[in-house]
Amino acid sequence: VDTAAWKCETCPFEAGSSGSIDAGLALQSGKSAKFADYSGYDRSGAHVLLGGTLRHRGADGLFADLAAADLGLDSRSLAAELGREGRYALRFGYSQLPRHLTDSATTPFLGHGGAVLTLPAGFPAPTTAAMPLAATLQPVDIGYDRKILDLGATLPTAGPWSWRADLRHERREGTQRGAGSFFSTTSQLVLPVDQVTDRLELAAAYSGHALQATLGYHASIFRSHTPALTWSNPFSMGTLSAPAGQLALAPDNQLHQLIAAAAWSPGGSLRFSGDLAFGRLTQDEPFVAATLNPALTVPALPAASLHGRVDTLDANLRVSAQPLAALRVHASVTRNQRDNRTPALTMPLVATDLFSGVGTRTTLPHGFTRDRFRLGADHRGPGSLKLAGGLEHERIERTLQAARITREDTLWLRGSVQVRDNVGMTLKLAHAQRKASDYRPVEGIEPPENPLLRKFNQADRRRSSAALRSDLSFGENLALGVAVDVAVDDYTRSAVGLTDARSADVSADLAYAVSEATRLSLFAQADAVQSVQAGSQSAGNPDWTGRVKDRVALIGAGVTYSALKGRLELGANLAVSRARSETIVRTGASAPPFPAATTELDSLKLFAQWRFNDQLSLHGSYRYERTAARDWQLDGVQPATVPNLLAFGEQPPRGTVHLLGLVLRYRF
Amino acid sequence: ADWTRHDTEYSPKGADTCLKCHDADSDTDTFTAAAIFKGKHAQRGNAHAPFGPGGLQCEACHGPGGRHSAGGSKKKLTTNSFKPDSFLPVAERNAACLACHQGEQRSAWHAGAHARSDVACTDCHKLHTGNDAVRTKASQPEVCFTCHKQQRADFHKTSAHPVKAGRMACSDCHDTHNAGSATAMLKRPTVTQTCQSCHADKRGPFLWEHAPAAEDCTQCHNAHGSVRNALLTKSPPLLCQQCHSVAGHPAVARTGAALPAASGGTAAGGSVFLLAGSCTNCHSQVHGSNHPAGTKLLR
Repeated sequence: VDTAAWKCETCPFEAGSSGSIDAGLALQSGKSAKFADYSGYDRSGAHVLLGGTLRHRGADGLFADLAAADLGLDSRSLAAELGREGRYALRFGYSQLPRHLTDSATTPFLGHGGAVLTLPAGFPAPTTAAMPLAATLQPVDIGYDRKILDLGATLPTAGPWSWRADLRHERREGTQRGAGSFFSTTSQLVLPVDQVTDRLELAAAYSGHALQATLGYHASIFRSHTPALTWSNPFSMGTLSAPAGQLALAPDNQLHQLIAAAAWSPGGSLRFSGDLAFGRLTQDEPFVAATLNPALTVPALPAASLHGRVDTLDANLRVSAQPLAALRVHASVTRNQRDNRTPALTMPLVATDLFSGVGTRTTLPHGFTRDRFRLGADHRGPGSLKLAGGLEHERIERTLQAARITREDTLWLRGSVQVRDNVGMTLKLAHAQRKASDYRPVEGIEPPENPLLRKFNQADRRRSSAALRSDLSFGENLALGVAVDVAVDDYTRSAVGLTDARSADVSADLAYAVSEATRLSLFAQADAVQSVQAGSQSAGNPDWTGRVKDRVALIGAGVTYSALKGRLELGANLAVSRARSETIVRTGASAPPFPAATTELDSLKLFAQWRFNDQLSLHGSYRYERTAARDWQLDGVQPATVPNLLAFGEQPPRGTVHLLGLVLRYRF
Repeated sequence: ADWTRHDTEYSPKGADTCLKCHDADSDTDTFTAAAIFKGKHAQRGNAHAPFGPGGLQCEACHGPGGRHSAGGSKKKLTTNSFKPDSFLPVAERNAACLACHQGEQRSAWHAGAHARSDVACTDCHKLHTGNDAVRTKASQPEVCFTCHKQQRADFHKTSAHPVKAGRMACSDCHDTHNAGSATAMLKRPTVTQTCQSCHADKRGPFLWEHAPAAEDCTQCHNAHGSVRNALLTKSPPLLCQQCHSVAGHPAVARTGAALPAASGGTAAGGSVFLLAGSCTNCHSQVHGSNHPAGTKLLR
């Protein structure tokens, strides 16, 4: 094509610098850990709102983009990219992600956040009721911050060859929940979190007309600066004595992976692609002592550290073709292997720092190989009808687990049709059958597992599912979508364990352009999940059942309104969800029922924007969020409620927060 | 698309021809092409971009516009509009994008669930805009939820990854353009590798492993959301009792009788096996333990 005369004289190419600065205040009333989680709005009072963007487009493709958000909050983020289009791009990012796990916990332990938890005077005591909790409990907010630094480069960003490097340095600092026990007594503990994960990705890629290929290296190096937590025992235990216990925290580990990928189009519609990744996962953190109890005699450990090593192989080969204009076929073969080369170690048995010298236990370094074969085809026509179907076979071979091999075959069919111009429907049906080759409890686990139990991931199973989608449009302004999903799992030979699981989800969406200035969207969704499991108190035939029924309903609405030629914009978003979970355990004997666990989550966002001129605008917002949960596992459970459990006294999330924000935006 | 069979030629003046109608003063947002100049496609300095030196400008993607720009022509039947009502099948519409975007990230588009479900690139991406919503972390999920309704409900549950908060995007876990993973188009080859890219503390290998944690995190967690703490699919003890029924306390049915009297139970104070963390009150190292005495995941 001769484009010499294509001057593009009327093309409004972007050039120069532009950007915006946001500055304002938010006033918060009320607080809740749930609202603060991830957002950084963790207290009542004023918060500084600060952010902005910077954008530059120069000659020869020079570009720079900068975006900063929430700089006054613990959820601040900064992202920048600059380079020359088609030649190189450099990336920089910094972000924080605050986690607020709970704000209703209390603990008598001192030193939380550190590697040693001690107790004040008055401990230990035989039961929680006898502990001096009234004088020693302190509130503790449990949570941590992620601070993430990203650096990246790609060059060139277009053309057949390109190189990419991305580095992420992530630090997690704070606390999280934990627990530690001594025989039949236990305490909830505040665990320290001081961890760094460095992630490096390097890739060289070739992209030609018929062949694309990538060679890459991926490394993830995890380090924890606190390898263990020691805590004083708050319980006195008569003749048994253990003054302190120690938990091993997450060990340092490394993952290194070599990755190759290629795609090839030899001609026509035939296309091959494949991925291959060899990985090695290692862990060699020195072991902590088997016990801190000086009164126990413990044989020497067989090794000072694990020398843990897992080799992974992930391979995937795919082919697709279009032998006829209306027919496409595709097939793939996948292998995911976790080859656990960690030596099995026989360790002296020490039980919760109280008992030793009663035998040994040998570790079970699990591994698996998962192979999947898939074959599918889809056909267009006649008319608007589209039919697709496929077969899948999955085989998983596990080591040191109950079922050595499981095989699952799946058949699926999908049909879609456009009934008229304004009605589209799609129905997908699938059925799968899984069989375990043999199932026997794993040797070396003491006491042995009930031989009638079938772990659900290794059990024979029939799975059926159906999904229906329908999209209707009424003119150009009104669209309605309806979706129904149903799935049933039947564990056909599980006398003990999960025996049945089913789920159903129904949703409806409506989008309505009321006028050019007003748009409305509504959605409603109902979700039900139910499962049944059987247990055996006699470690033999099933003698009890447990049924869990979860129901969730969600309603959402959104509206936007624009007036005065865009000077005024108004909007609102509402989301209301209700969840109810019922647990029914039947043993044949009369027992009180469990109360339902419920969650109510309401959120409303109102926003308004007034544009004074092209440079200056005022943005107002109001957020309301209410969380109200009831959970029999936590409701009213105080630190001393259970005699042998020194609990946090954590309560289900509840709280109402109002947040009023006003931001002045200056554009340049 | 193979335009040779559509009997058309390129326009005489390229984009200047197109902008006679599709200019900034066009009567609707969807008719104007002005916003393409805010994106990377319309960069003069990039030799590989449609508007770079020698580039085919609008017609690089929309196909030769000779017939389309001619007076009296059937407008919808003479160009690749990329719209759902296009006369071109999805694969042909997508071919215009894949002609350039077929590198590292999209080489296996042909084998992915999106391609097999006839998803068009423009079902998710908007090119004639200054800000493609699906490429922005905070607005991306709404685009995905257009089809993935179940996930929308999950993210509205009380325990969920921070997608609703705009701090995480679907594409942080899913590679929507590729099929490198055989499961749910994940960015890493397996579910566990994907989860552990952010949760490397759970990676081990541990001295005492918990097999499901090493094999597949979704055996206990729903990655998209749950009404239970920590994205759990079910609360302990029933969660754990699905797979553990050894003689002794793991096999015992925990009924409402084990609740404290204030909650309707009959136990004095309630049972340590049921309340607060339930099984994890003692077996707290559920992802694996590296303690010499961690055989029961107690240390």
